[in-house]
Amino acid sequence: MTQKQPSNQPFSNTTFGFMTVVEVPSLGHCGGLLLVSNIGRPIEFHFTAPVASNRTQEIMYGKTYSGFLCGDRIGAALVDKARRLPTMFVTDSPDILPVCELIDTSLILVPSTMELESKPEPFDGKGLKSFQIDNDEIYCLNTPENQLNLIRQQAATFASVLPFDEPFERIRQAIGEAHQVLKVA
Amino acid sequence: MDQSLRQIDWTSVIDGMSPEVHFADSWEAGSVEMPPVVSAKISNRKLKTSSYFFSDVGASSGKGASSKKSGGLFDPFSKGEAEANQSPTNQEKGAKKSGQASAASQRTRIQPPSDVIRLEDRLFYLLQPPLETLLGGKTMEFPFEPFNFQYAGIAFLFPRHSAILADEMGLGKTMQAISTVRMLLRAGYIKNVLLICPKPLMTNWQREFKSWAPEVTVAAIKGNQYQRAWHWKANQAMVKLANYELLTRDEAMVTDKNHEYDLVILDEAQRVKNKSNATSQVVQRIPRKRSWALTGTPIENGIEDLVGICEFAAKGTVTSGMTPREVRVRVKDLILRRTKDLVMTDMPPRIMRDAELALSADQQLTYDGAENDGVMRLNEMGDELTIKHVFELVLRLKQVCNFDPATGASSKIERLKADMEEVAASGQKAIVFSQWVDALQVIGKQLPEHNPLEYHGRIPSKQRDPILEEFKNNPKRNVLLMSYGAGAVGLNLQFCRYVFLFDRWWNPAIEDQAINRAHRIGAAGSVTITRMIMAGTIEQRIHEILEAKRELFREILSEGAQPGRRGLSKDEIFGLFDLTTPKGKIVPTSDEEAQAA
Repeated sequence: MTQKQPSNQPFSNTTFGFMTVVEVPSLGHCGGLLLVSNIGRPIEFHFTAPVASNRTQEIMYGKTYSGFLCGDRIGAALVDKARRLPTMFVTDSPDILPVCELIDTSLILVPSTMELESKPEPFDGKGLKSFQIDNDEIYCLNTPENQLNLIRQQAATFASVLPFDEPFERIRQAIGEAHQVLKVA
Repeated sequence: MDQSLRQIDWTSVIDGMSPEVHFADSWEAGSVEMPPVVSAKISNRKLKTSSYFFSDVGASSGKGASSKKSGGLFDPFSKGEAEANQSPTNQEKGAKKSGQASAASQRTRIQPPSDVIRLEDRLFYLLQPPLETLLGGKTMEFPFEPFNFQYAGIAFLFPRHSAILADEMGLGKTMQAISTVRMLLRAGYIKNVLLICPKPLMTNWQREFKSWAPEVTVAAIKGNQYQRAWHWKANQAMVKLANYELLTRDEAMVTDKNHEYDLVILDEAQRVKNKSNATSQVVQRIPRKRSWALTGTPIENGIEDLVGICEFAAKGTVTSGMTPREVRVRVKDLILRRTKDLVMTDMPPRIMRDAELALSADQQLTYDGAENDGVMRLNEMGDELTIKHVFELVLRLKQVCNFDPATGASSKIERLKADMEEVAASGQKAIVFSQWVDALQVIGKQLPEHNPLEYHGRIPSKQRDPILEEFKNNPKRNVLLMSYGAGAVGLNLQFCRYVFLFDRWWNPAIEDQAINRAHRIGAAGSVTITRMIMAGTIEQRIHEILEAKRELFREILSEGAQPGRRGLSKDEIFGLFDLTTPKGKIVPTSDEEAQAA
């Protein structure tokens, strides 16, 4: 999957793809991708069916299993469904980062509700960079050096409108609602 | 096929792996025995995903739906492109200045109402950003930052086609309704609104629209019949403002089936509590898509009031004969009711004390005589008996509860004197309310050491403000004697920490208004309210009826809810005495709506 790096567009045209993985009790992991406008209005929402952990795969993938499950499978499925290419993808889950192998769009990792124990490992050829917004360390992938400042500016502008953790809150609530409705149905 | 060959169904064992069983062929079988090899391939089976695409006017699901560009509706940046392109540093500074930080800490979400069934519609509401973000934008400036509960009220109204906003008076129902109308208009969800209010409130609504939604055009329907006809037909204004009084006159125009309103709002909706009156009938027939009712008193006398309002807001939700529990369940998603106690958590507490006192010996003697004689006389009247006669007896007995007319003895005054000593000793001030000016003057004579001031209907208007100034600024003036009629509304006496209700008004809402003179925003500390009730008398019976009403109100609406403008009904006034004739119990025959207040 190859996607084009967004150009230097005005902020009003920027869109953000918030992507996270939620654990649904007794069902497994469920991914959600919420594409929002520059002011946080929803444009697209995609969520996956829950994926149960697979013991054989866990053994085979070892400590890379979470990355495989959340990034290569769930993240990839979500990105594949997006009709609009966001200016950047935003995640609060380090396990989703491997999805960067499948896209060219910038992907930033924000420490919202998840505490990172250590700096995420860099991915080959993608280069892990970081910058700060409001004293928060933001990790950035898939971003050439000359685009980094632009991405930082766009991310900071968005954060001045809405805190980064807010869209994830919506994703979690929407996934919960969807499962509740589908369960009743 | 060789016996050693085995068919293995690994799929039942290992999810996501495809078994590949190698079968030993004949020469292998005949020579060196090779162990069977099982190869597991990692499945790349596609995950099932669900997708929803949103535009400004709702959700669409599936692949066929296209994504429309968002903007306009809630887009606070739609007019602020230049500013939005400023450097992030400036943006961040601006955001902090305009209170975005506080918006971030408080997140009010629009929750889908229970009658929204489709998942895509529910998700549309759930996935909207918090109201603080939507309303904090550059193109929806407000005269001041709404309170959190007001955001919650907007979030309640926004998605609903049927709603009753029943906040206690003073919490800003008007502002919440206007702001939601403004958002819905911007969203393109609605295009024409009809707002109906009592005539005296027309100018107030116009003023409030100017303040909270200056870009929304409002046309007041008024003038002679030709002018009004023109107004009804004209479509220039987004909001038409009409009063209840003209609905019946303009019935044909307001109920014209060719003119459907996207939203009809009834202010002071208790005006249509009687579903069979002419105004209610007209209101129910207005063609409309959304129906909102605003009222601080959805239940004045009983469940039947709510039935009337529901006939407009959500026909059939509540019907006559339902139990309070059934009603509560039915209206749970329909009514939003908040009280000051509930939402103004930063306000100092309001401490209610019921001082149940015994009549003095003189009072008891007079009271018993008056009651016995009075009831006997009423019984003798038979069919001639009207509510007026009963009412006169009640008033007479209430006066005896205050003072014995012959000796002036009063348990209440003894208690008040004792309490006032404490109030004065602590350097505080008190307001004493009574429904009778004569009683206030007697009280005044009994409290000379506290230099009482009087504020009631017999004081000329010009002298009233100086009296309040004197009370506020003179530390020797500890007590203000006030009548309910003169002091119930419009006065700010939040420097007072004590309120005494020397006698009880018929209507808890009037009492609440009186109490709110002292207990209001800006109150210096807790406010103690002492309600004086004479045990075993008419006062206690009235108190019990009013408390039962409060309880009914709480049961149907919410915990902590306050009663509305509810006095005693005709039946309740008759019921204060066990009136019987040789023919049996006296039942009132008059149709008169006997609200005591």
